[in-house]
Amino acid sequence: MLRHVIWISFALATGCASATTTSEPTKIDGAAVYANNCNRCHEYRSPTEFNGPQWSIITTHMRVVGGIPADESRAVYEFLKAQHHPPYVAPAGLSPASSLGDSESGRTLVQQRGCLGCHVAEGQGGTMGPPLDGVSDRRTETFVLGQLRNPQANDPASLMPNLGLAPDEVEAIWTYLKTLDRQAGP
Amino acid sequence: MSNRFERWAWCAGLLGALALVTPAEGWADDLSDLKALVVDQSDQIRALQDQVRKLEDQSDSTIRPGVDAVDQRIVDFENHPSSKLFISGYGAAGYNDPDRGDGSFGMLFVPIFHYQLSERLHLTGEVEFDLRGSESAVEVEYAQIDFLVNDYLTVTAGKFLLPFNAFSERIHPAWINKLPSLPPIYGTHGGSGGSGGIIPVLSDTGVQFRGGARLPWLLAGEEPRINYSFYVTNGPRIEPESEVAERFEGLAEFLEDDGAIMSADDLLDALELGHGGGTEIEFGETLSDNNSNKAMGGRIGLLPIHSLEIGGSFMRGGFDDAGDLDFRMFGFDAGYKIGPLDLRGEYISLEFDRESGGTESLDGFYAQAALKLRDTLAYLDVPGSSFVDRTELVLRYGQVDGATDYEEWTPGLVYWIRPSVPLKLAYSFRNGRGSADELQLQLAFGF
Repeated sequence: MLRHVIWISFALATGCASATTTSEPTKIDGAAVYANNCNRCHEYRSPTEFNGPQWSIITTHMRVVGGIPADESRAVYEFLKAQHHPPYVAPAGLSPASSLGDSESGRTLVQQRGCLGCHVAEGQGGTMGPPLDGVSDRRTETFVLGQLRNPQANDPASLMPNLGLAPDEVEAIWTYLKTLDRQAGP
Repeated sequence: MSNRFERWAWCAGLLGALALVTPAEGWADDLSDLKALVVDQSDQIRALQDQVRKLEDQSDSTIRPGVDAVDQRIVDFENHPSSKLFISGYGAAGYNDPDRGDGSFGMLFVPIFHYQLSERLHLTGEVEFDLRGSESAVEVEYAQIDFLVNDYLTVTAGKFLLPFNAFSERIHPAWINKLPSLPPIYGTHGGSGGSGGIIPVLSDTGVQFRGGARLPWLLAGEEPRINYSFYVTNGPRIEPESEVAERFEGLAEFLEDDGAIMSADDLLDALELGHGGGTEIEFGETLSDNNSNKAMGGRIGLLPIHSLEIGGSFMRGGFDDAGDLDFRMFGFDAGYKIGPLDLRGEYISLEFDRESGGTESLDGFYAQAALKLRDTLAYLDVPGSSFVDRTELVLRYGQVDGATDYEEWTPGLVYWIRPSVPLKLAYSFRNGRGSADELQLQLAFGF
């Protein structure tokens, strides 16, 4: 019996290994995987609670125990590691004055910074955090700007990572958020 | 008269022409001044832009070496051997107050040690210090080595939590389990029957093959996933009768022979002294095998959508010393999250051969619903509060059917101090197996 199990597993492994060489690599959104999967078993742990090496061990352990696909596990690790130690971005030069506070820039930032992994905007995104649709109706400008600058300032237990946003990026995102209707969505 | 009129007309015409010409010349001057001003301002803006760019370059060239140095230190830190060791775990402090008997405090501390030997080799071990009940207990819950063969296969060897349904392996840690007690189908340690559930939280020694994959071709628009595990382990053993039970068995048989109104089996059952003439399986109490008949099992989990997982498990093998008596077990589990609602349920069926011939069977299930108030109130457009935002309501029902039936209702309330620190309050209404209702308070923590 034991021999059969080992042979079957070996065949599975060999077959899958050959499959990996032929399949196209897919870009996976680590923030979305984090938001959609971790809370199936437990509450979310803050991305800043552990450092890079610790997250590497934890995500591997979760991959084994939770049966998380390997590529998704790696994407989650990259997301969590980046939240703990955001990469340094050199000054990008003068921005045209018209782009400051522009809602389209804010929309792009919301998409690029992984906000949709945890929040719904325009009916799309994760449900880990409160929806961004209609947030300007529910929260004051001071609260939202404070949350964008330092999420733990409003609530020390907040799980939202500090994205290290520049002041003009905060303004742009707030301008975009004000355009989001509460009833937005599909 | 006409000459006089013509003179006046000429004068008026000249004055009008003069009035028209003179302002036009002034405007032209203003326009040229304005043009000069705009050119001047543009030059100044360009100069300022150049200055800002120079400052940016300067700041980048000043900051960059520092950033690179910090990055290098992080890389060094990540590669340092001490970063390969990581201690996580969980624990709980609680108070249980049964309707019958005295209430008591208890403590559980469970550190988990991880060591990353290499990218593909991970060591993990969990030690449980259980200071609940009448005596303290220290147990190695699992100690395993995981070899990540490729993206789809991991081989695990050692003592590991068995993925029989989801609760044993994933949900039972106190900071994850939303109630202070285990579902009725699970006991803490020991065997089948009694009030200890159908099976304990299972761990066993052996080898396991497992993995997971996405199945994008299965359902368009979604990302279905599958995970699997198959294992071969030493398996359970037949539970030895205690000395006290053996003595009472003799007394009971004597009373039965003497015409007592209660049979020997019923008396032993009433005294809760073990088998009552039957056979019991004992899971995970020893590391060595008591026979050559290994236990074999596995679980397949399917996630058609990311918020829903459905699993099916099985396990079978021999459990007596001679390897003649077999047990057969299967189970189903499901977990579904929809907005603020978390639904979970499991079913277990256990059948095993009796020493006296025939088979005995036990089966049971639990279903649990948990509702987060913050998300519920947000959905209903009702303002929350700092207390309500962190509160979750839980309700669990479970039952076990076998020689003696048992059922339990447990409503509870969780206050999330932090995402890994729940304060739980629950009350279990129990029926059957001489059980008592119980108030439970527990502060759990994950670290």
